[in-house]
Amino acid sequence: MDSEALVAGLARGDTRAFDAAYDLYRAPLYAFLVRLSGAVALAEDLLQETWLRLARHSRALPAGTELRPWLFTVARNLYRSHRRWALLDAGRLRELGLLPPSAPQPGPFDAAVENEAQRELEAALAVLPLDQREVLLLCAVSGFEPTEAAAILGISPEATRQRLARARGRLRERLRIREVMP
Amino acid sequence: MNETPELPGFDVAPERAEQIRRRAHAILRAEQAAPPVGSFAYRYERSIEPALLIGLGLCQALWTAHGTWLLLR
Repeated sequence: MDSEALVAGLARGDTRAFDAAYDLYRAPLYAFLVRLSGAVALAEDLLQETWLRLARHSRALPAGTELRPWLFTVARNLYRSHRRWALLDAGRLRELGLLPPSAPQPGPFDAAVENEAQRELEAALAVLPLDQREVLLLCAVSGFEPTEAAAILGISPEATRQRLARARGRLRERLRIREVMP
Repeated sequence: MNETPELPGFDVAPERAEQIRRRAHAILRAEQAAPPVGSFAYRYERSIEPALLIGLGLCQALWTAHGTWLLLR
């Protein structure tokens, strides 16, 4: 089923169309959210909210909507929105001296990575600034073209390419540093 | 990232995936039962009624502020 047929099915409230989209895009969307947020529980909540939003807006989706970018846009905006509130909360708690020191926890990728190179790449990706991490996840991991990623990020394609080049450079640098200083 | 190894894909736990699916189906069914998009009932529910309620709320707030100001004057 192509994106057009999925959108038409969703507009009719067809649960089979929803299931087809869900089976197709759930895993990539979840992996994107886990890598973006670095937290499994948060990624699950955001994944749920993304799919519930699709169900809520299914009838109002315009005919030409590309479902995959739509889902990634919603997921990314939800994470951005969550992060803003989380930063405010953490800042306030820190001001009041109520925030306990965070204990080191196992990363969400520990079970999924197959070798040391992947583990290093995940670690290097996780410490990139958010702007660079999201563009890299969209283009290099999720397979979006820079023009599609630009629409998801709400910036121009040129700015996306520049951000992507900076992110790749920074990632390469990080991986080289880890190689030299294991 | 051609020079770097591919990252593994992973999925949410099956029980959680099923829970999300069931919730979304429930919403889809509820949306189906709602008035059709573009109809007057749909527009009333989505925009006219909320706008009326906000307008009434603002009028109430202005009326209260005006009354308070008259009392204190």
